[in-house]
Amino acid sequence: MTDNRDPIIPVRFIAFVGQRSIVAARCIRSGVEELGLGTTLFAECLFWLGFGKYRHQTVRVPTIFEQMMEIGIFAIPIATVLSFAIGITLAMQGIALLKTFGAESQVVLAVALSVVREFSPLIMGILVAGRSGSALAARLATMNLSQELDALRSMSINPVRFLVTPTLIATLIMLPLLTFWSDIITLAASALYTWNQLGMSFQAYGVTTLGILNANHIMHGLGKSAIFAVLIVIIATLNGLFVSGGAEGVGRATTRAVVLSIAAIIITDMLFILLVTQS
Amino acid sequence: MNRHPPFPSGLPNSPDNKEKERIIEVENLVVQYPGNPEPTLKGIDFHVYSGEIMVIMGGSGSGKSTLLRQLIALDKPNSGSIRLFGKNIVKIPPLDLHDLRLRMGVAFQGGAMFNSMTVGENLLLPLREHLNLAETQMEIMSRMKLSFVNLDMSTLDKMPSELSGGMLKRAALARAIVMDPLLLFCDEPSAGLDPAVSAAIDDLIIKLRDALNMTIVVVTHERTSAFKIADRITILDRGEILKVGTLDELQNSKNQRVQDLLIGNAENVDVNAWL
Ligand SMILES: Nc1ncnc2c1ncn2[C@@H]1O[C@H](COP(=O)(O)OP(=O)(O)OP(=O)(O)O)[C@@H](O)[C@H]1O
Ligand SMILES: [Mg+2]
Repeated sequence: MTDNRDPIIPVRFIAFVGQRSIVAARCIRSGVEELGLGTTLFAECLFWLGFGKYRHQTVRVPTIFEQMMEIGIFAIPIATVLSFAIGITLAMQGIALLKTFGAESQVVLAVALSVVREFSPLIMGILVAGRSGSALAARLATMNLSQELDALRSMSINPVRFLVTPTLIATLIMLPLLTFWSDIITLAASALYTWNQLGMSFQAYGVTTLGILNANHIMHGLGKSAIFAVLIVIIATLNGLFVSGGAEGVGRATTRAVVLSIAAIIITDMLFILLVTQS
Repeated sequence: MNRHPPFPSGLPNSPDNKEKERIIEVENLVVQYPGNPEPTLKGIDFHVYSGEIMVIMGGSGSGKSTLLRQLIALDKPNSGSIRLFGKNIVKIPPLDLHDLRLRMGVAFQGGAMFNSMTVGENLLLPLREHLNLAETQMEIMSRMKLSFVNLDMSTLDKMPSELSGGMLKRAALARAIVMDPLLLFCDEPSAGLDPAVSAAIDDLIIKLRDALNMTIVVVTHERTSAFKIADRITILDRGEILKVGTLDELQNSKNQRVQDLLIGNAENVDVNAWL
């Protein structure tokens, strides 16, 4: 009996490995496909922006401003609250940690660099993904299911030109600006806590921070947030445009858009740092 | 101002139809959705003359919506050709498709009004996007179309979600004709409405043909409205054309399946009468 069974086990193992590899290969393939679709979509947006008017598909500036209000200006209250909380938290953690080395006053350095290079772009990216990425995905998915996108096409209004490109431009402008705003608020909050704990004056904090930070640090953060902006809009659009399955599908598309764009933001952030610090 | 640039009409003027231009010519159209074992449209041939109301009838799943999507160039067929105003829309340069689309209007089944805009903005959208006119002039144009479909001017400031089913269909019709198209497509214009409202919409469609001389293609389940408005009827059955002709011609047809579909004997037609 054992003689009969033994050969089966390796076969089963091979079958198992084979199946898993097929699943993995499918995931990779669909991932690569989505990457390709995303790149095409981004290129299409740039095409409409540059050459739309030769195809009677002009990207309207007022629509971009509307989207800028929606994505940037209306997000300022929540962005401010989040940044303030992050600033206080970082200062608390920094002072507590540095106290063990007796180097509390170095908190200014730690906070300044980590906020400008990491925390502000990340937190604002995640905020915009949750607020505007989800809204865009839900909007496109609903319009797709209610045939509104078909109606646009039938009127010779390209949906990518009309709906996606303005949002992309608006996010590209507003996310870095929100990040810059977040830099200021987070550092101010940190200064407030440091003044309260260590008695360091606002002015001293500010001067020290400005001495540490240079344009490169700030551009690093703002550059990253511009990349995040593209990721958020493209991922939301892909999920919205390829929706299927009624109201439930809209929910799924929205969730997927938010989860994927946050994942993409964090992974891109890591890759970005790897690239920048290696070179 | 010339809003409709002269279109080269490569129409074969066959001797028997010299006086009637063929606005739509469909030849051997095959459409198969990926993943489906059978084609949804299995080689369709028909044409629509200028100024007529062509009704496309057929049971559920016979491929009516698929055909309509092809006619308005939303999807590409697997093979075959569709000519609108003599232009093959299967292989058409983007700018020509743009010109073509300015001359046709589509009223979708669910209305497909843009829900984030008021009805007025819905009507103004194509005008604003494609015409270089003063705002007041465009407003006048959209008001004219709204009164044409017998909607009150107060509807302009309402959101589509605030309209009743019949009002929504009428608003969608108004949006479809706001650019004064030469060719109008309606998907189930009177489905799901009570008989009086449905009859009013049928009258509207006839009025569009008579007053504005539009060529109109209507997809519908409803036999009563089809018989009332149609100049000719195309019967679609499981992806194939069973018969094309006037109501008289269809009623005199010897084909049993045509008779079944006309009087509603076929099982799928009975179901559709409820939809
Ligand atoms: N996007 C799609 N993908 C795959 N199959 C489809 C798709 N759309 C339609 N079909 C199939 O094509 C066939 C015809 O569908 P279609 O919607 O054209 O029918 P219909 O005549 O409009 O029916 P109804 O009167 O119920 O609307 C159906 O069997 C349907 O399952
Ligand atoms: Mg249908």
